Amino acid sequence: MGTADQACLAAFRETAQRFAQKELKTRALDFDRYPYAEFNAGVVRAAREVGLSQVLLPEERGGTCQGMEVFSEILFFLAEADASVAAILLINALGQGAILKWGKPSLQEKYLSADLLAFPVYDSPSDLPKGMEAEKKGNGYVLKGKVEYLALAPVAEAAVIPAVLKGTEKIAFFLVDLNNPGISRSAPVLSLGLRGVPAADLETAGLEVPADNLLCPDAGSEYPGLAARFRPAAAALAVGVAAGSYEAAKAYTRERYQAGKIIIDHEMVRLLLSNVAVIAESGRTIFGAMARAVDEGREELLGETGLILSTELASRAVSDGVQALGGYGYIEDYGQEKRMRDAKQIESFFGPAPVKRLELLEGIIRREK
Amino acid sequence: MSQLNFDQDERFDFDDNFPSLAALAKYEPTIVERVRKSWEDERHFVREHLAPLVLSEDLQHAQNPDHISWEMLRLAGRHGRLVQYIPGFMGGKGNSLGISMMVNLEEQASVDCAFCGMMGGHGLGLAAVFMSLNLGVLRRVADRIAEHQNDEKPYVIDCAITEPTAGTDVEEVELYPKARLMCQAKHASGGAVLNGRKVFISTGHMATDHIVIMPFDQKNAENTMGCFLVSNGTPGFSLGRMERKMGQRAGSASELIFDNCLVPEENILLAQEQFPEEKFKQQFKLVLHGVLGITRTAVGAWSTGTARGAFDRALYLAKRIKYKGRTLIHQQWAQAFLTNMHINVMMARGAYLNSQFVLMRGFERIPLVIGFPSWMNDSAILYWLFRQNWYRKFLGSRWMHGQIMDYVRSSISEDQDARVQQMSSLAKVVGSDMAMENCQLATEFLGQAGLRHDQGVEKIFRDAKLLQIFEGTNQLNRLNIFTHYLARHIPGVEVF
Ligand SMILES: Cc1cc2nc3c(=O)[nH]c(=O)nc-3n(C[C@H](O)[C@H](O)[C@H](O)COP(=O)(O)OP(=O)(O)OC[C@H]3O[C@@H](n4cnc5c(N)ncnc54)[C@H](O)[C@@H]3O)c2cc1C
Repeated sequence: MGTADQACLAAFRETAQRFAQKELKTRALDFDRYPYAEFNAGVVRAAREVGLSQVLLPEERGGTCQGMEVFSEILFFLAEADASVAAILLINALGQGAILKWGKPSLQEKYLSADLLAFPVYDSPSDLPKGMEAEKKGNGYVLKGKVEYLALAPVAEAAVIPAVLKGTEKIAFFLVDLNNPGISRSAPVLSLGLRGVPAADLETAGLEVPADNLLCPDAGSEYPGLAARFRPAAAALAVGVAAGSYEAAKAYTRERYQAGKIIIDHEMVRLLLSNVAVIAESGRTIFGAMARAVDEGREELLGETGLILSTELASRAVSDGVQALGGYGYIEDYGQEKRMRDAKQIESFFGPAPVKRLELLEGIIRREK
Repeated sequence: MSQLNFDQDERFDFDDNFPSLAALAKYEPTIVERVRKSWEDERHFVREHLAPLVLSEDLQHAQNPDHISWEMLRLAGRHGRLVQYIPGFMGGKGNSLGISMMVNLEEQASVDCAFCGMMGGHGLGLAAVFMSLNLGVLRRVADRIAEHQNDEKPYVIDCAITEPTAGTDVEEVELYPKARLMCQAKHASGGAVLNGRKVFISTGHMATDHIVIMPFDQKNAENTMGCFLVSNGTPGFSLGRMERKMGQRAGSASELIFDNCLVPEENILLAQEQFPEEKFKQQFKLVLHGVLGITRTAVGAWSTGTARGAFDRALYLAKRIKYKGRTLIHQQWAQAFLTNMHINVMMARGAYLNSQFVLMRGFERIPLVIGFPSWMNDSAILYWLFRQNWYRKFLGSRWMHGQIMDYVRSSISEDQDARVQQMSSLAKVVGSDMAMENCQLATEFLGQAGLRHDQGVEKIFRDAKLLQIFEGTNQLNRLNIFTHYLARHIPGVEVF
């Protein structure tokens, strides 16, 4: 997996754009009604059929063996139309990434072809209190406890979840089959944004899993590496939402009249638009560079800083994307309020925003020692 | 079902949080004591009675976008919240639109911003009725509110100004000549006929009567304005769609449709043309400024409460959430976030209280706006008078209306009007920006707890955004501050 060549990138870009236009644009609001409307499994399947979802997997596992640059580019275009579908692909890819990185071939065989995998995308495993515990029993483990707010849990076949290994301080990643009756999922939790990405709490009073399902015995130190690879994709998601907000705001303000002129001709409206433009336009270069660094195996601070910059700026800018439409921004019709909620939700991927800032500095200080 | 829980917090002491009022108590003990008591009562009401409904009502709206929060409106009615600002001698609670209204609004919003939205439509309607200075209609509306406050569907009103093609343009008198209006009234025998559509009207689907503002001549709107009361069931009037909003779902945002809708004479609150004398030329501007002065200050208070609501939830959760092995409340970065949120609340509160004082000065001779002294408010004679038909007829007469308008007009100086305008816009902008900022901070620092509905933070985030948009967008309000504060002292400067 190296840098994508331009032709390949262009082909994926075009597919993603076409898919977004055809499948997402007019239906994004319907997907957003979840959990009070059906989960939109069809569109996820369709994305897979046109080759947008398994891009990171190796060919022998049914993928097209692309890098982060291609994947991020795809997510950007999908998120411009509907961030939820893009986020589903990202979370599922994180689950696949975990299985690819740590799973035995038999697990890979079985679960990499699953329709969807759940993954705890909002927090790193060592940050939150350890709700789940794993105890060695015979050849396997028994899991007991609770995992909160697990993305895709209501609809996934299997989940990657953190659990503390009993008797140690270590946190491990386990793979659990969600069809197992020993584990229960709460009713879907209603979220601020990304409502098309179902989330739920998982709970078990004693779930036996085979030893092979222990993916990674030290998630605390291994997880950051996995998350780091996916930062460009999360940034692409945020920038995609900002780009969607920017385009919608430009289109609206060119048509709407107040004070005798189209409102895009009011300088205060231009100031609002400029806030969105800054991140929508520069963001693509930023996540592109982040992705190429990942694909080329370069460890750069751009990964951390680029994620902070794009998610934080995007989440503030889309509020101005609402503001530019006045009252019409606050109602669902133009999609602006949804984008504002989605961007805020994306900002918490891989941990709360200020925690990511603290981790940035911690990393810098560690490296400079 | 998840519910909002609160810690016992001694933190919220009146003197700590309202130092200016505490200082005033030395000079005006009765007023401040009244404010404090009413505030304590409000605090009890919102925590004990309102809080249990907040999240479940919001969930019902998510489930069913056509849901109407009658249960919440009944709660307000049952607890006298619909008659709060109506003078005692008119059958209300007589808190008037004074300091109490603002301080209590903050309290309500700190528990449920959307509850204020529901009450806001009604309040805006009342403000329009007050400022139209038509005592005949006022006492009829006041009667109905008091009479029906315990009904299945309590009586409330709304206020319809915004049109599909004119939002900002109808928030500012200076912009009327440029507005693309689609509503127009026409004189007819026995009253006036209304045509057109109004949108985004808060509480529209809950209201029994609607206070509607539209001109008799679109081309000369600012000089031909009319203010009408339209009742449900009037031929030619219908409710259109109910908007699907980001938040603020307890109150509906409704479309009102007028198709040759005949409004009888007695329901015309104000028709500028009826007062053609030169001295009344600015009357409409005065009414609109008066309404906006009150309602923007109110939005400032409501926003402050919203900023506090986000802060309160964040503090509550920070005491319970552990991050990297340590409870948030002990971590320096979390303390910095919480402190910033607290600072934002205090700034916003300062702004709306200041604006309230400016209102009290600007409207010092209009007790209807700033509150009646208690000897009047609780007067049995006035109460009796207001129930006499001959007195009602007298109050509702054109002559009386003209007298009151003349009195009010002459009692507000241009300087005072400008101060009211700039301070109320300032309270609105500072408050709503702080509310949104606190919601941004709360969701950022709480991570996943800030994102899930059952923790109560994400709802405030969705509710808060509206505060920057309505009652004039914050952009328009900034221009308004510039116009009434800075531009006033810069001869020849061009605004709008
Ligand atoms: C939930 C909700 C409840 C509401 N309740 C009521 C109600 O009860 N009664 C009522 O009458 N109305 C109500 N409104 C309407 C509200 O007051 C308007 O939405 C608001 O005034 C903005 O108008 P608009 O939506 O038409 O936006 P526009 O006026 O179209 O504004 C769009 C953008 O252009 C900018 N802009 C417009 N004109 C200028 C200018 N001259 N200079 C610079 N920038 C400009 C604005 O700042 C904004 O960013 C409500 C709205 C909502 C969403």
